[in-house]
Amino acid sequence: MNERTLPCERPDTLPDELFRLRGAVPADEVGAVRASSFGFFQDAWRRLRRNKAAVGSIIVLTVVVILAYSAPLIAPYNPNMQNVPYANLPPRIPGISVNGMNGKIPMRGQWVDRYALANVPDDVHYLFGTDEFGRDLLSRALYGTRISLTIAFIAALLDLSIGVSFGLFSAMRGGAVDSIMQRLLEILTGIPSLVLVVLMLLVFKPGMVSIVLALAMSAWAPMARIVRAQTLRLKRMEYVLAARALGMSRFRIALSHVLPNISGTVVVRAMFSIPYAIFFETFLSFIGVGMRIPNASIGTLLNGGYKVFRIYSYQMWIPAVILCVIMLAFNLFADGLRDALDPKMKEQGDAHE
Amino acid sequence: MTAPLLQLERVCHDYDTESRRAIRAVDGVSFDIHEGETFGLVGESGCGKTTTGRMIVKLLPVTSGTIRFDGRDVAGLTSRNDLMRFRREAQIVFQDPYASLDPRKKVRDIVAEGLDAHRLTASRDEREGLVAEQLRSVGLNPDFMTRYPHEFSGGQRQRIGIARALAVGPRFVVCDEPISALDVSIQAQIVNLLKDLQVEKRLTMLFIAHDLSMVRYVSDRIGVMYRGRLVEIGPAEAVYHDPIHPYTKSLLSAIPLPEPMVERLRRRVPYRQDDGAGVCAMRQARPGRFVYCDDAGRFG
Amino acid sequence: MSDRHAAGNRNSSNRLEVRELSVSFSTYLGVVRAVRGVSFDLRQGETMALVGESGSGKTVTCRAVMRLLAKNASLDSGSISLDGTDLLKLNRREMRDVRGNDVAMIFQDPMTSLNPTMKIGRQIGEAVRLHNNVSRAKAKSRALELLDLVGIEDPARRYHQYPHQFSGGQRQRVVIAIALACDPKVLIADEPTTALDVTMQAQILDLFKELKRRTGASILFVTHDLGVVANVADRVAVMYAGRIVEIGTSDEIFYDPRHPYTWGLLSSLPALAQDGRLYAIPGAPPDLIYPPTGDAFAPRNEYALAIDDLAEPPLIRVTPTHYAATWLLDPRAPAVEPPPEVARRQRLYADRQVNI
Repeated sequence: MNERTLPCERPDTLPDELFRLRGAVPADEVGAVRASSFGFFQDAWRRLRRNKAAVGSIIVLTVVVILAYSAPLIAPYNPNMQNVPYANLPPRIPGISVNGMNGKIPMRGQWVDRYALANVPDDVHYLFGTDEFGRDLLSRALYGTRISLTIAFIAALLDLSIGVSFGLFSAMRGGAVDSIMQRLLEILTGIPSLVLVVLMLLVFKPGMVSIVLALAMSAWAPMARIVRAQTLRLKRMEYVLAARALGMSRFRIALSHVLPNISGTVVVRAMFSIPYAIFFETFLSFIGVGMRIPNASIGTLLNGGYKVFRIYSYQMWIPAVILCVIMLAFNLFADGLRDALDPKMKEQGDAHE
Repeated sequence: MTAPLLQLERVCHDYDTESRRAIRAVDGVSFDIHEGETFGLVGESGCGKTTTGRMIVKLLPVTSGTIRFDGRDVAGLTSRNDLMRFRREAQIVFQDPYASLDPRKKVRDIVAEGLDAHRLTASRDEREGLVAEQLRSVGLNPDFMTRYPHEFSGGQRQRIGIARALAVGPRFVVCDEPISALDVSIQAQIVNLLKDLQVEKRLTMLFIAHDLSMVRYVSDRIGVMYRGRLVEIGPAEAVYHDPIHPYTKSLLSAIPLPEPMVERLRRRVPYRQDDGAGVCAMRQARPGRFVYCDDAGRFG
Repeated sequence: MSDRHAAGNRNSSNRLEVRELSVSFSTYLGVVRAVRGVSFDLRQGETMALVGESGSGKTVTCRAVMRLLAKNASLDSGSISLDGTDLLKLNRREMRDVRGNDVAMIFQDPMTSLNPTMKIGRQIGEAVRLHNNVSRAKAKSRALELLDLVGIEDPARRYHQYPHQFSGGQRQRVVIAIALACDPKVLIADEPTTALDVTMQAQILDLFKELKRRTGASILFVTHDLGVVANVADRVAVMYAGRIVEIGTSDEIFYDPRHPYTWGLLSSLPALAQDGRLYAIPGAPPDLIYPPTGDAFAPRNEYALAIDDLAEPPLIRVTPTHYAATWLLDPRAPAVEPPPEVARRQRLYADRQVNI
């Protein structure tokens, strides 16, 4: 038999007196508790911190937000002040003598110092250059980012307020109310948002108000759907049934059981709606139905930049890079957040070989 | 004999009543449960036993028939006062120890849920004290009340679920497969706990399970369900040792015995419905024992 | 029954040999020593049951054999060899070939093991084609054969159905059919009946016996229910806290158990409860982040000896096929009277041995 390989040597050295009955040591009837006492969000934060991309995104976003919202303090010029003699100056950064960043620009195959041509004093620097009206692009970029971010945050807020309450109410009520609310949602999402904005231009002037209203009309619909689906799922969970059996009202169940358990999904969805809103605003402004012209936003900057892209490419590159960085950071952060809040999705799937 | 605490009379439940293809999950089930008794309900998954349990505690509506609790029709409890009183008197313990506790709540708040819903405590200290008492009565250390459910094992979670149901001081508890998801060695602990609590708190219980051997052990009487119908009712030992209905026989033959010598020779009895059976109803076959069959004693 | 013995004599070679396997998981609370030196053999054509509570390491042991451990797991020591090849030394591609071809695994939950959007027949056919280079038509006929083998009635019709049209027990049959697609030498079934109710469980257990007879595969059957294995297993290994505490033939474990933990498991089965209370092993399994120095079961063991706190008992030989890790088997230990039900079984078994 092959069991000979199993360990069975007899340790004869053990003292005899140890071989006496001792009986069970009844510890705590049901034993000790395993694992930690971390709450859910502490746990999520621990996981989020391990995600390098997400941590990087948080840092980038913090810096961008701080810079954008302190624009009135740190912007070197008035973003709307025109100074035609200084038009189309490329970036000039003190201490850097790389072509393209020292005020020189290629014209007809040669690097030409635009600052010298425009008789700009030596101590005047436009870090991001100026546009066709001589407005400082750095200041415009700061103010523009601020507007884009504000619109994005409003969109997230709408998601969280209208979207969540709509979905929660619809699912908790169920029955006919739910059906009617769902049809309403389908009608709202059936109208293309671009058409909506154009229609709004009939009533409002182009600008913040019409963009925000257009978002308020239907941008929260995906959130409402997700919240409804999750709520319907949770409604069948035994702990919700237990709460009902204990006599808890539907409203209290929604607040104390459903909402905390879908908070992860909700937060993640709201984070993903931010880059969507930024892109929406940029797109509207770019095609000219968004922010009004003198006001800066990333969309209007891109619009101005693309016209002169062949000659003054920096006017397009700078807002484009800002847009990309913000979008990427929000997406990576939302991704990290999703993994942190819903670890099962990730850990269950993979096994190493 | 006094009037039974719980009476089910030809209770039916249809799922999907709005669409045309309604599925009859429970079909004309009638039984009584007397004060202090444990009634076991067994059957395979999908036989309607869980649906029956949930109708009794008013988590699902009754399509037809009546459920009387303490003499009053449960469906007729519409005023808030009546409903809340019923919610305090009839409680339920669920099957899945993982799905039945809210993962975002601390044990203290889970157990105190019923106390909060009925505003049974005046102060925070009182609430804490009652929770501690409940935890102790189910064999858990009250120090654990600030922990979250995921820190507990399956058996411990099931204890928390029992504490939650008993905190409002019910007279009647539906135990919906409380042990099916647990390890065998833990099953015994939970069953013993339920038996102790029943004596201590003078509970009446409906114990639902798919394993007749465990049900027999906790119940005074057993009802066997098959495809939405009750096919046999009788005293626990009698049903276990001497089943009458062929479905019960088949169910018994499926229970694995820890006896390899017996198991090697064992033949399972598959159950086939008798097509020749006429109009079936519950009929008394022997004193105290009822089976679902037609006039001639054929089983349908 | 005679088949079993004949098979044992004809070829006593081991299909699977697991030696001193240790697996640990690093969590942020510490290192969990989930499997602590497990050794066993799985012979050709036999069914061996691995029994233990959740957290005893039985599932981890199986996953280690399949090399399907989670990312934070580490194989600390030991070897796993299949027909003489050490599985732990294979590279990923070689291991992929082993999986499915030589070793197949069946998981507990038949719901999540099947793709809900794909017809049953195609799922089985794909499993067939994944490892064998055969035509679609061949794969289909093989899939039909497999459906028939696992006892699905009217395979030609069911072939075109989706998982949701099958009941829980039937789905588990389909999962088994997929596992059998490539005639594995070793079939690992991880709690295949736990999610099913008694009637379905009985049918699946019958199916396993049938499969063993018809395919000659070696089956490693994992369960927490000692009652279930009396039916299917030729040999039984009882695991506790990451170790095998008792291993022997089915008869030896059920009629002549020697480890107090096995006694406890047997006594707590409701089928054996007479009157009064159901026996329950007190307490809960130990925390494997800090495994106890002595016998891990000692705190819950009514029959614990003083030495259990100091030294971990080795597997001590009872018969050439039966080993138990308890100091009670040491000649210096006092004689103890096992629980009544166990004592009854031991007497019965002793009588029968004498008669034979």
